[in-house]
Amino acid sequence: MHLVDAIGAGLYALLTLQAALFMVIGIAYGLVVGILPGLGGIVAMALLLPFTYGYDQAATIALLLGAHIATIWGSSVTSILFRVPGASKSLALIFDGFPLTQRGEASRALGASAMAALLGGLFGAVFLAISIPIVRPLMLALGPSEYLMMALWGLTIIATFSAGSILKGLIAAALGVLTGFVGMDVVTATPRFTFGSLFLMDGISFPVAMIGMFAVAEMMKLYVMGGAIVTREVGVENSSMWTGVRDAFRHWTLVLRSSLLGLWIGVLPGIGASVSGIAAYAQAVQTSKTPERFGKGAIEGVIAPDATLGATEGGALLPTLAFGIPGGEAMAVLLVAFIGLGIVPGPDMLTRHLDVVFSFVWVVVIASTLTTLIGLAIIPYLARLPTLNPNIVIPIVLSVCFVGAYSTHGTMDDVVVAMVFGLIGYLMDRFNFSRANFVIGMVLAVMIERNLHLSLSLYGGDFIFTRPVTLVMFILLIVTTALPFVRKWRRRKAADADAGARQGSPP
Amino acid sequence: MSRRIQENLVLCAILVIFIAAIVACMSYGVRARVVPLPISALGAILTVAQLVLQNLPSVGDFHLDALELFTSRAPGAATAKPASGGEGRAPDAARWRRELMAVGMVLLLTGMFILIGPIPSIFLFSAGYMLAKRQYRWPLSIAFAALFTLVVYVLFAAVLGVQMDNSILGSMFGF
Repeated sequence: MHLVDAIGAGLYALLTLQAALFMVIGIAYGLVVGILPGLGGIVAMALLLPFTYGYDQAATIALLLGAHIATIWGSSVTSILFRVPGASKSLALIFDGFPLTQRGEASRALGASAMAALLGGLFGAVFLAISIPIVRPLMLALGPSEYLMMALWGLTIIATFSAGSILKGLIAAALGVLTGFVGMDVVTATPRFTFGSLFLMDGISFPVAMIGMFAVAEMMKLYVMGGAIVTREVGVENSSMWTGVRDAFRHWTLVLRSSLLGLWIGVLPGIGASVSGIAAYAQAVQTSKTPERFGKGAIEGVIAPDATLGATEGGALLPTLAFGIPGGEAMAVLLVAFIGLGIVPGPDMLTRHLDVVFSFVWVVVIASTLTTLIGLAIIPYLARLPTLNPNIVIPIVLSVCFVGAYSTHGTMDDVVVAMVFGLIGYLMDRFNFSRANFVIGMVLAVMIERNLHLSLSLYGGDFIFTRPVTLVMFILLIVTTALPFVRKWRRRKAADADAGARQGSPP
Repeated sequence: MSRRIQENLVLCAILVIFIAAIVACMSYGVRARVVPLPISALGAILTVAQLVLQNLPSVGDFHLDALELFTSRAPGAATAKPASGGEGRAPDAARWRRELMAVGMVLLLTGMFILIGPIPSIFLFSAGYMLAKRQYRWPLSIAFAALFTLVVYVLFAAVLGVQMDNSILGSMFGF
């Protein structure tokens, strides 16, 4: 399909009543869920998965991606107003967003946040659109062995960058890959890890596992936390959101730098949005002429993370759509939904289904714009929001989780699967095993196995050494996996040497 | 029970899973186990390595601070969390109790779904939860639960066309 035709077809697919309605519903829902702490974009999308079957493809993309984009700004709101991050990715917004709220400038902070998110989102969409013609020839030149290496690299780099222990990250990924193998092996027709259960022959349903792993587990966390999620004293508001909007434009170089950072982080598989907010804040501090203002209510401390978070999504969509390697846990959930819709990431996406890719680009543009417009409209009310209570959230979300799991196949077995994955998700979170790694491992398992079988059949057993690009990627995989261990070892050695020198020196 | 013992127990359980997967893989054909077997073996090795490392006081975990990587700032800054109503609020004993109650709550809802079906379960669970937490007075709790159940019914049964009459009691009494 020609590029210009695809751009038009991508937009045309969204110009239906259903698609427009789904996008507005997605954004409104995403904003509400995003504002509730603990219910980030992943929970929002996991709960939407049962609604993605049987509807128009473009409308479903609008629903899911619209909700996801809205949750990003929604979680920024909670960080700014309540000093509790709506999701881990919006942690950086606390540092300066909350001091602004304390000074009575919540409206200004929210206005700057909304506009920076929009500008970042637009950068992300433009990047995605521009990168497609560049990536397309590259993708068509790659074979199954390169895709195999890319999936393995994605998996290891995800574990490397996950919070906490790298070993735990790798263990979680390995568990996820094994879980992805539950069911009938399509190549050999061998039932694997089914324990004689007919239900497990079809494998574990991804949407149900996501619902359990994220939504049910988050509700358990919320229950264990106890009390009101957040409460605050609503002070006198002495700022205007339009000041914040102007601030975002006034710091356009910061917006540009932060958006580029977001794109870069988004493209790297596995690093995702949780790191990008913090990295953006750090670069804003480092490049500021007055870094001492940060932490006390500097508006740049709000603008930078939001612009980065907005741009990350466009960047993260590229590896997700082009290579089938999710940029993070949210992209893994999106990938699951795409597969359910019959969208198979890979070369076909950038050749035969280019219009679908441009639908994604348009959704990012429209959803970012609508989120900001709706956001600006509700800022005066948000700025006076006093409390959020879990006693209403828990029964509602938990019930929707279970009925959502049940509705995927209409069997109670899925409810049990959601419950089991909820318990697993809670334990993983409690003991710092990355749930994102688990889910991404689960999603990549099939890709790894299919490409390994294809590589063995096409190129023989020594394909790693006979295909130069594969060999280079294999070396890259080993280097990037080993690098953190080497860095850690070097730092420890330097610290030991430093301590030794200090002990030896006279007082 | 100390945090380290809990961590060790969790890792032992994971090790058992990997070993069970290795044993299960041995009964599959070569092509069927070509990926799961190495992954299980690798997983088992990594789990043992983590077990050893976390029990050696001289060796820290392989923690990579993302902020440190991107900005060359001091390690640990990225993971610093603000004071919030989050984890760590409840003391250990109270936390255990709440965790058990959270597990019980999830098990209860699952059991109710299987036994009486989704719609009655949602009504009873949400009304019961709000009454137990004294969120609203009982007439308002019941009204809220009824409204929420109605919304779920309309969304899932009417809009999505999901059959909501699946339950053990329902099939016993021929509903």
